Amino acid sequence: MASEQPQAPPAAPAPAANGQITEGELWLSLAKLTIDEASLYDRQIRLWGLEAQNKMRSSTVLVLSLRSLAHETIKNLVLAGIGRMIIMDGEDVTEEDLGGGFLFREEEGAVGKNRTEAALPQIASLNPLVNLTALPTLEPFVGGDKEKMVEFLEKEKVNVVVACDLAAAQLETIDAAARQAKAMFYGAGTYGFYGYAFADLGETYEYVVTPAATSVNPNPALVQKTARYSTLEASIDKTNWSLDLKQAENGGSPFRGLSRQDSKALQPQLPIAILAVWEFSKRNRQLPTGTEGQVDELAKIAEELRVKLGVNEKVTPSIDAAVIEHLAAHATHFFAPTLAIVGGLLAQDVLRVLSHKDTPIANLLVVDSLSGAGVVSRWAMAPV
Amino acid sequence: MGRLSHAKALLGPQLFAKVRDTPVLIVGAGGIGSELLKNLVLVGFTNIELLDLDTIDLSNLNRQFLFRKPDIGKSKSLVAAATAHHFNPSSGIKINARHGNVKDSENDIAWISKFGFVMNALDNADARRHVNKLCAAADVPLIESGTAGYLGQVTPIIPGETECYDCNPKPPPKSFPVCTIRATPSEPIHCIVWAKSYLFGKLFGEDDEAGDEAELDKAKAEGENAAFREVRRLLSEENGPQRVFNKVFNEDINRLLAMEDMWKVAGRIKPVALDYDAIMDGTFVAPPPRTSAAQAAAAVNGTANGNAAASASTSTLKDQKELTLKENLELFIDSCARLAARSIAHPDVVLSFDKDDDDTLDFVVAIANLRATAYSIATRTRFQVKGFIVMQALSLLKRKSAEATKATDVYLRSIPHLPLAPSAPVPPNESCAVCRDTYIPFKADVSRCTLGEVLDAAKSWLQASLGENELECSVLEGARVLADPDFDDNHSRTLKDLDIERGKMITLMDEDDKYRPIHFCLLEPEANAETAFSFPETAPALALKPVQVKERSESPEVELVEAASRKRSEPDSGHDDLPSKKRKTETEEPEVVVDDGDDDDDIIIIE
Ligand SMILES: [Zn+2]
Repeated sequence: MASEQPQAPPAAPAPAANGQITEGELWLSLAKLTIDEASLYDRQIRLWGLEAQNKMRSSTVLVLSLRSLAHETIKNLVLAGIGRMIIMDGEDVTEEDLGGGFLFREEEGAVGKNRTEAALPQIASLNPLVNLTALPTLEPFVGGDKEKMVEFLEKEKVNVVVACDLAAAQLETIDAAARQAKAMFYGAGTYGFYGYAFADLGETYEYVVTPAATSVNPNPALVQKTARYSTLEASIDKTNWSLDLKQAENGGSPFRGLSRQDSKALQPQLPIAILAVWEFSKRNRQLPTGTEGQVDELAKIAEELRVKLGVNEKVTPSIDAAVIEHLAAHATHFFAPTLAIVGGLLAQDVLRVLSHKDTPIANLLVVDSLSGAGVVSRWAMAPV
Repeated sequence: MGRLSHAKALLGPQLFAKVRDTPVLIVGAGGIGSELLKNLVLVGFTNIELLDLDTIDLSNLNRQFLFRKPDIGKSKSLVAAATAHHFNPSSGIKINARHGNVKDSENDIAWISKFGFVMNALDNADARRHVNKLCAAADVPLIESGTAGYLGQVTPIIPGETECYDCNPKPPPKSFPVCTIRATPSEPIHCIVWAKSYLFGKLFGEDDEAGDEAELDKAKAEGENAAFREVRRLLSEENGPQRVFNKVFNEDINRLLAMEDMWKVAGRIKPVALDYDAIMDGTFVAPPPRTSAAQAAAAVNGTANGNAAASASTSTLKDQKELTLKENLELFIDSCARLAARSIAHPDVVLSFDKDDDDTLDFVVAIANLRATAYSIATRTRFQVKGFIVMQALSLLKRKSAEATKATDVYLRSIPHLPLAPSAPVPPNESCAVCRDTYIPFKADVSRCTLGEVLDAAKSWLQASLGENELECSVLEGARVLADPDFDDNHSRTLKDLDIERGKMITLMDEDDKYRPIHFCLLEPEANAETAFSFPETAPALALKPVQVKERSESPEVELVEAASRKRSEPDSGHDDLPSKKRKTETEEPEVVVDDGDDDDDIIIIE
């Protein structure tokens, strides 16, 4: 299934001064053209994107928790013109929430109001055409049972569930319910400068990609593809991690047997660190908050995961202590630029899957906003 | 402080204090600028200046989330600042919003040096280059960003450490095979290029294009140009626009369809000739947007989206009306008539595309849409991510607090498994004509000093750095020569007489080629200055020219092709006007090359 590899970009520009062109430069030069055409493109995008736009307009997205990450995602989805959005959150806005939740307006008395109630007017003003439903509760998605969740998703005809800033154990249950209700699922959040987005687009997800034009074939036709996703629970199930990458579809480790170069590119320590936080939160029923002993516990979990996954020892002999220390101290903190990056990538992916165009996250995106790295690893999914 | 408690915890007290203290500048309040402003405000930057010369347009509303419909026609920077203030009204944030051009003379190096760093959120290359130069001259770090579609990049430019915007000859422009543009477009951009750079020029541009395609297909090109000249003539007649439409969207497409070999290539989709009357009376059935093979087959059988698409296009998004096929046609007829009227009224003025000129924009939009319809082109939605600019800003602040963090460029990419990638920064190009020169702030009362006085004083002030050497130099303002060793006619004239004022630079070019150009940047004089002008306390070490490196572009197989660019060479640098030359690339097919620069740049066609 090498078919999902990105195509080589069109004709390479001439080399830079040092005679070498980096991939970044290549993309940069392609990006530049588009920037200059952007204003023009803007006016036409909706006409050309009609088919995609129609799919988007007839879709319903459910967003769970408006604590922080959801704001950027909601903004982007609503501006893009999805059909209907349901927002759910049972908590009231705190003063701290204002630091990330730009849809809350302090002057309009947001603090103390239910989060959905406080955000609703701002969301509506972004695009009056989006049908909005605000529910001041996370039930049945938090504290409810799976059958109730399925019932809700089916009744509301939800196409995509976007669960933000929820505990890993909760995400697993919501994902399972989404599967049953045939809704696509995203679980996403940030821990300080780090962020993640997990996607479960169902047993079979079909989409099209436009291969890049080449001089041989300047007008390639769209290509139809299928991907098989795993549930979150299956994705982080350790049972078969002793199997290698080739067995990833059956739960084999996505890193075992990876070449040195690929290991380097995929930065296994980033997803491992996120998985470690999840595991920590399951064991302790809370995120680390920087108290004594937590760094050691988190480091220990991460190291166990690293060994179990059979990560290339030369590339990742250990999980960077600085990453672990940051996560242990800051897992409960959010940072606006990190939210913007992760929330932007998340919204972009939701729009992709609503229109079934282009390669979506498969299946765990992890972002280190400080270093500017974003990597996607495939857990319990066939390798590309 | 509750609202900033997370940011404070994450940044630590020192860096957070810098966030609160450092004045920052955002140039551009459009899509990127708005997002940037939001992020800076949320993080807690208190002293932000926002500069933009644009006003809000209807088309800004769907992605620039700080603007609402009632804001149309108002200043982007003022509205953006007012809206962004709501994101953090209570922690003492001041946004100094200015409606103006960064190239105005008041925006000089004294102004820009007030800022801890500058962020470019601009959509045109000319302004970017200007800010880049100001920052290089004033030694202020700049974060350059551009985002487009799924792609984007964020690059910190630290004077003396990393390469600047102008360190490299601009990356070669994106190019498309001529055949793609002229006959087989498959992407929206192909239609825009065709509308903007081909048809517009043929109808309203200079009427001397018979030559440039001679070798492409001489007979055909000549025939076509003759046909267009005929159409140009028809433009002045009653139903000129309709005739243009029929030629371009009916006759020409039918002619292409007759070339059967052209449509045998796998994956190529035949266009459909558009019928003026059928579109106008609503009976024309537009082809469905191209899609996957299976869906396309369904569409052919009449089951899929052609009609649905056509009817859905009348719905609206955010009060912005989408154009139907008929409306596009009407827009074309109308804008074409407006342009024809202009070109008849002012035959000497060559019309050129300008996105701020509604007539030309409408024309190009309508044409591109019509062409996209004829070729069944659909497109994707786009997104941008801007949080990295602020992350870069923070790492700059961190550097300044002596923790040497490595600056990195960040690229957002469309590679599915690596959507974001940092890349190592590149040191400056030693022969860069912008960031390696010497810049000197120069306070002068331009009406009280002559060029001769200034030059004599400047040379003796520089003597400390020059040592034994005598500086033999020519003197320029931009590309204008004011004096050289054999020409001193201007010495007795005041700077004011010479039209040298605040914001401009007097450049000394060493005749012996030893030193890099020395620019004296004109600033306002001190309020109660005793002398007509003054230099800084100490003379700088003058930058030396690097040992001449052989120009890469002079290898024999590479041919320089003059770009058809009008305003490309910047008069204020004189010696860096090379970018208007394009290297011919080795390609099998002729290509249309789109300049990466300003909106007013033309394209060139290279055989
Ligand atoms: Zn430079």
